Amino acid sequence: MKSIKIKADNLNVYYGEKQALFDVSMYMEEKQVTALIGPSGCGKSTFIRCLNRMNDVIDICKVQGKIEIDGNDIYAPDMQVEQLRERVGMVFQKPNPFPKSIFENVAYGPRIHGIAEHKSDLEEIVVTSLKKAALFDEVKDRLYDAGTGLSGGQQQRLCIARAISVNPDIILMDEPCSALDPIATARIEELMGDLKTEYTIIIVTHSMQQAARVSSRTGFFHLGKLVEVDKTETIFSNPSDQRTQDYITGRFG
Amino acid sequence: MSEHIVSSYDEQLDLINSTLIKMGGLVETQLHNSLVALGDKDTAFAEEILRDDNKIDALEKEIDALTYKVIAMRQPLANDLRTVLSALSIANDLERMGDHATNIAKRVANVKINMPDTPVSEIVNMGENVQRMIKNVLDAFVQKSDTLAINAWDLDGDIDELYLSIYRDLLKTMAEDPDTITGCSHLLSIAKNIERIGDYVQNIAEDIHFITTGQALERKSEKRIKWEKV
Amino acid sequence: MTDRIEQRINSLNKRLNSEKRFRIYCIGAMSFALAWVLILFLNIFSSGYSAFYRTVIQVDVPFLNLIEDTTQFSEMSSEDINNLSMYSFSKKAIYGLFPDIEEKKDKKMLIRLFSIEFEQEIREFLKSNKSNINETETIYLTASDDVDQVNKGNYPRDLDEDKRRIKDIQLLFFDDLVDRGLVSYEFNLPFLMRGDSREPELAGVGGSIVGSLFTILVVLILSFPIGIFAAIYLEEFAPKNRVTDFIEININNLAAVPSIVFGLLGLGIILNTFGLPRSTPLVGGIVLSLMTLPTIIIATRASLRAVPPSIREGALAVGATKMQAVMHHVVPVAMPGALTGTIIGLAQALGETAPLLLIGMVAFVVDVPQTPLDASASLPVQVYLWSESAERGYVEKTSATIMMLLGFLILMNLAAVLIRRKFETKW
Repeated sequence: MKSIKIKADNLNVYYGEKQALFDVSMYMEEKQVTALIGPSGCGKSTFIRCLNRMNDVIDICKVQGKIEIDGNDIYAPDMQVEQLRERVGMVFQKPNPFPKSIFENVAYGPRIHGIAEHKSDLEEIVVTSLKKAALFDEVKDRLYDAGTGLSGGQQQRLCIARAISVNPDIILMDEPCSALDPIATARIEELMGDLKTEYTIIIVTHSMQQAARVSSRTGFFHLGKLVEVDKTETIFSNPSDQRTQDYITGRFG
Repeated sequence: MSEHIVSSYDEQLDLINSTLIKMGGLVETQLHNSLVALGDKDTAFAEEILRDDNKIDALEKEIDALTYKVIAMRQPLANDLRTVLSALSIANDLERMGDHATNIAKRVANVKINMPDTPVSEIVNMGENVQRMIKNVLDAFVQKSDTLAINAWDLDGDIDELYLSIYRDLLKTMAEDPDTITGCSHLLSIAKNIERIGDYVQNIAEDIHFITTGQALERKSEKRIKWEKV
Repeated sequence: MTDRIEQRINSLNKRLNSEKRFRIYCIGAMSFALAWVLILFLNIFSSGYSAFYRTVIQVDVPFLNLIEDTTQFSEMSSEDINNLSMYSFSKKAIYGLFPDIEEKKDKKMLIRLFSIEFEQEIREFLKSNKSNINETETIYLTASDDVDQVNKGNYPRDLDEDKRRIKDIQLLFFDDLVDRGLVSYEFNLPFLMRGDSREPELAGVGGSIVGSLFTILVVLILSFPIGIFAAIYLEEFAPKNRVTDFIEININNLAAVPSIVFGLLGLGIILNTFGLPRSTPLVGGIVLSLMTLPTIIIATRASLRAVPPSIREGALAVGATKMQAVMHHVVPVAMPGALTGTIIGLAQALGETAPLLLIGMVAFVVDVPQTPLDASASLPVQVYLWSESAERGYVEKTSATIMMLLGFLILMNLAAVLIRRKFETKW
């Protein structure tokens, strides 16, 4: 049993009148990949966005319940959301590099957080982050070219490099491969295998095979409820809830 | 069980199931025919049914191909995965059962020798019990019923008991009248064949249990335990 | 079977034909619009281009008659030259063109061939060349508007004399001067440099160009920052509630308010309440800013909205504050759009007349304004003023002013297009 990194306790989320999450309680283990699966609109993205408080951006979004990271309540009044997001990085569905150079994309986070004191430090962070994101070799000769000029898979790895540039503990990935071809997807999955030695990764995915390949635990969401969370192996071979089984075997109505 | 969103997936799984049931039916008939041939000592009929074994073998190959295709195309998960994997092993078991039933017919056909009547009727009786087990386990498979499967599994205890008693009887007959040794040893083999078929039925019951529950059946009848001590 | 195929082919042909007709309608509509634009341009250009030329008459000025030694001029200050009495001397220099004329009336007619500022022109020549004046200098003096028009062929010479402003004797003088090669035609630089005048040949658009530029400058300084900041607030920071909805609706309404209403507002509040000087580019700029603001706000908001939300999320997700996300990532991407909107707003303001009439920028201003606080006209108002004047010379000047105005508008729109091309972000 690994130690627990994130713990959600009776989480309820509302968008205005509409309730998006119902009493979700689950934990995520440190330096492991946890996958969240479920049909569209089931609340898995809402859940993952609660973990770095990206939902704060939405005015009508209300969060009740508790999420603890390393035992600290991230919705506590004295929690600075910017500081939280420095610790909890995020990679999005569609690669969204800034319309700036590759270097600037990665350097932005450390720069605003004042992590690098000198230019050489910053360069080192950029290179290390790109290396960790398995992108450095492909872009080392064109660090000052536009990040938007890269291929989709490279852009997504650039976004991963951007996320790890501020040295987070946790990386949230919201369907990171949904816009990528199978080869680029395989690269990112391989990368996740490397990254989990240092980071706790939570991935939302629509691909059951992907969840099965990359994660050690999997949670199944349906209609805003966490139906089942278990070892990935169990979820995909012998889930205990009928809804989970129906979903993963392609019977969902 | 609700249907898959992709109906052709359902069709493929249904085809595997129906082929298995068809194969099970053939095996049941094969055993039945062998028992009839044995009871009537009808060598001609026995010759006839030998050929039916080919049909069973052909169906096994068909199921192999179907499961292979489903795994390659659909990447089945959870109960679908268990169904497909179990189909392979059930088909294999059924093929072995078919071989054993055919073996009975083969002995009846080839061995034109004297067989004592009493043990023959006992063996036919035992065979009919096994035939019932096959029927039960096929019902369990059709209905995907764990309960029926376990019931079928439990019946094997009686078979083992019958086998034990036939075994003793045959040993006794051979000791009393050495002329019957050749016939009795054939009957011994036939009884063994039937007993083995019962074991395969247990395997199938275990597969059905795995399909429906996802767990391996961990169960040993007390009688089996007794038998192991012998 | 073949019937069905035939039927299909028939219906397909019908559809293809109707598409052809539709295309013809569209091309027709476009050609109609284009034809009008061409007619407008042709009309304005053909009547306006001649304003960029002027007629001058060569006159020999014997400076010895004014002073004994022309080298003395170099020692005189401008003040001294201004104090010289040169009127009769200048007239005599002109009489020198036709020494035989005796009658006073004819002499007067001769003088009238020239613009009334002939004395001033000679004085100016003297001032700028005082260090090396010869005994007799050949000076090009501006011809009067009537002569200018005759020279340009705009004047009907075959009318009865009493229906003409230019008299028979003047035509005789003029033709003789042409024969002697003393009449020439040159680029009308003063037209671009001078302010308005009651004399068409002396009137220039310089004053109104500078007035318009000052006005636009005021509009830019006021409305660009205000518009951008208002748009950023409304689009990025304002909570979505009834108050902001109300503000949004009103900004959209403001864009549709007739511009003369802004003029009334300027008159009522800026002139009367705040007491700012009337007829000035400052006030004009303030009033036009009010009109331009909604355009800038709407354009900026649209370009902010066009920035994919994923960019904001990307910045927020690495821990940027809302303001950092907006200022570092969203605004730079939206800037070309905002600039384009601003330039289009400015172009609108440049062409606006009605509000300026109300705040008094319609005044007759001779001097070219030096600061935005000087009374001034603007290009569209100048068009309005001159189009109302009776003199024939103002007709071409009106068209020429419109040409200047159109030129500026085209330049500004071109700038907008270029900015968009250059800075547009490719996704």
